[in-house]
Amino acid sequence: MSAITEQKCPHCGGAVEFNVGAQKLKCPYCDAEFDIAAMQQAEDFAANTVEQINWNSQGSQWDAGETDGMNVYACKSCGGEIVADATTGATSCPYCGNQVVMQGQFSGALKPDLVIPFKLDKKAAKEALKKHFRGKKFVPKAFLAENKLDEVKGVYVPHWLFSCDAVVNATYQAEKYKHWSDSKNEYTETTAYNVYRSGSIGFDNVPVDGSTKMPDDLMESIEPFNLNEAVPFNTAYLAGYLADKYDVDVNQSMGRANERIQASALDAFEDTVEGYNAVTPMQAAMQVANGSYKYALYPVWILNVKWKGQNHTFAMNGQTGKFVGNIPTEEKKAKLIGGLGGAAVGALIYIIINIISSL
Amino acid sequence: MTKKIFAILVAATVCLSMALSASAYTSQYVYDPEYNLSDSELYELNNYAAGIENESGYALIFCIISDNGGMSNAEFAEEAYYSYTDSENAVVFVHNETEKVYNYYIAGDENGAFSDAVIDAMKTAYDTNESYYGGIMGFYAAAETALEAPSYNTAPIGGNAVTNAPGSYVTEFEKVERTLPLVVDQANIIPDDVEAALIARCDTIAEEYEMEVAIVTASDFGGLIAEAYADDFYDYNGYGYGENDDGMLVVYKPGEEGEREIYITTHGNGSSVFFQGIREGIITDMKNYLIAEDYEKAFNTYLDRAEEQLKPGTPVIWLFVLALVGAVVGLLITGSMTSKNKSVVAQNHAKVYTRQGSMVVTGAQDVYAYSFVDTKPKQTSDSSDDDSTHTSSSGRTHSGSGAKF
Repeated sequence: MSAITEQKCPHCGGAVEFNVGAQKLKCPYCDAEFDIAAMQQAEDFAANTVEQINWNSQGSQWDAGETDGMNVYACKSCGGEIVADATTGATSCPYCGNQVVMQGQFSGALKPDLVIPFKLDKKAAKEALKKHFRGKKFVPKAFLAENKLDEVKGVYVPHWLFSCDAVVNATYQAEKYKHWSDSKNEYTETTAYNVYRSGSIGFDNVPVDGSTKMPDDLMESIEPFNLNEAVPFNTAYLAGYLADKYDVDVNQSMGRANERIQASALDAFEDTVEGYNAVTPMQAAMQVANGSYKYALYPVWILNVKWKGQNHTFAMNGQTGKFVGNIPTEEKKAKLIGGLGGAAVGALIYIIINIISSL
Repeated sequence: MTKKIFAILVAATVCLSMALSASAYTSQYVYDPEYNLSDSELYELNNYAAGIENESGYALIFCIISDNGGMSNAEFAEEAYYSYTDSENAVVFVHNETEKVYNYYIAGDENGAFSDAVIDAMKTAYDTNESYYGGIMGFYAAAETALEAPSYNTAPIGGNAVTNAPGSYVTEFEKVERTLPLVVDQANIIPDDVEAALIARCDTIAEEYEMEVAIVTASDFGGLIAEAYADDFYDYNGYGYGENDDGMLVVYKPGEEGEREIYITTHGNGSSVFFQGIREGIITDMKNYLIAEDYEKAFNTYLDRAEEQLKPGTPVIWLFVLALVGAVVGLLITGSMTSKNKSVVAQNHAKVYTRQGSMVVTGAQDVYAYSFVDTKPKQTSDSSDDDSTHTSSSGRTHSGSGAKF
């Protein structure tokens, strides 16, 4: 009992005391009352928040002779390595637009499990770029007039796909509020609960970009890909396209997959805490069961636009057509027009009100 | 036998001396039906009060009662005035021991000597002395001090009750007609021609906008804080236009750096027209002129700003408010437009990859932890967002802003 009486108030942080009459813990500073069993349960949970993630590996090796006719090219500028079959060849880097040189025949690295074939062609990508610029405000006119579409390349980008059952143990502090008043005062009663949730939720094929040259946020922006249309990898799909070799291995990619899975798993369990006015996540532990990963190639159109010597990269999902890319923007001009224009409209309203009131 | 004769002689001497003492004053100043005071004490106190009346023309009457004869204490105080003195200027103070209440009645007070603060000081002098005699002596001494520094009315005229509740002077405020001009230069800092022009301008404003805008200067605030002085000057000298006494009054006390003091009080519609931001703006605009002792510019700035607010149409402050709101809305709109130019955003969730129907909740407990009640005093219905709103000694509501520089 003495161990409990030395505990701190979860509401104000003051040392709580055991109230013999109420048979409860009570905070002498904020008058909050606690149930002893609830306090102990919260302690026990806090001591048991070990996070553990285990993934089972899959993946396969190349068959003998399978990589024949596939050449590796290296970019002298950004160091990117790309793969192209002998008939396609490669002359420039899809990431930075600089020249590439053939390093030799492709070898090593895991063989992809899956590939999503390109469904949209280069023409569609170019059209999508034009559409992407259409209707955008505060884009420098010179950019729209002078930009030069330097290169459009279809690239198979390596992705690690993680699947698992996320086993969650989470605790939340939830509060209910009750308001009332009398002639002198207004009262708010806050009743706090320790809420525990445990269970599991499954995730399938959470992708993580396996290429360092391809910006992660650019790849995540063109998600999702429809994996139902994926087929077992065959080098025949590379004809006419470039392919990137993964240079971020599966172990390095797990961290990002873990972040995304954990965030969504905890959100899903928080959604089950219902009937309260406020819910605050306190502690959470997640373990992975049945974890597995695959290696897949995703089809991406990369469009490099050069303006004033700078390269602006846009990307299109080669399967769904989702198009992304940041367009140069005149931020200062936008703020100036927004601020001054808005103030002018405000002043105009003032003048109109004065005219109407003087009639 | 010798002892008896001696006792009779002593009694006869005392009776004679009482008769003599009674003949030493014509008015009765101290009324003590419960015999709390000895005869000699009564004699001394009445003589002291008579001396004050001779010097100042004010009769100061003190009554200690336990029964007000069915009247209210205020009525008793008024009745005592008519019963015990012929003086036109008088203060009657009644201490009802049974009800533990103090009341006073002020008649005349042509010098405006008895402000709330003075009455308070007199009451405190009485209260803090353990004996009745010492208390009433203190009461008269405080009154005598106040009578040495007459000023304009900053005290209630007519009967008011002083209760023991801290800071609450109560009751019915008796409205008086304004006899003073709208510019009162007690500190003598405004040149006569400027004062005349300011008065004319104030009169025009009052006539045109039905709002009295007044200016008062003072060398000191008679022991009051600037807020109380301004409020009392406004209330007890009958300032304000119309039924609601709408108006604004600025009081300014000149002095060295750090001693100059300015306070603007508003009442009635004046409080809504000249709200806190406006009052503070006026003071800011006046400050430099006051420091430079350019009183013509200082008080004309005050009147300029007042007129700006009073002119038909929306006050100028709203121009700034609308322009500011417009600018914020404008920035939000252009911000929303430019945000569409940025489409590369990292995805920090994996919701879209959730396996359909895979979520299983195996444990769910909602355990009571603790509860507490927060208590906040209720805002009264007449409370205002303007935190400078307060109740003056007359019981009326004023708003005000001030500065010392």
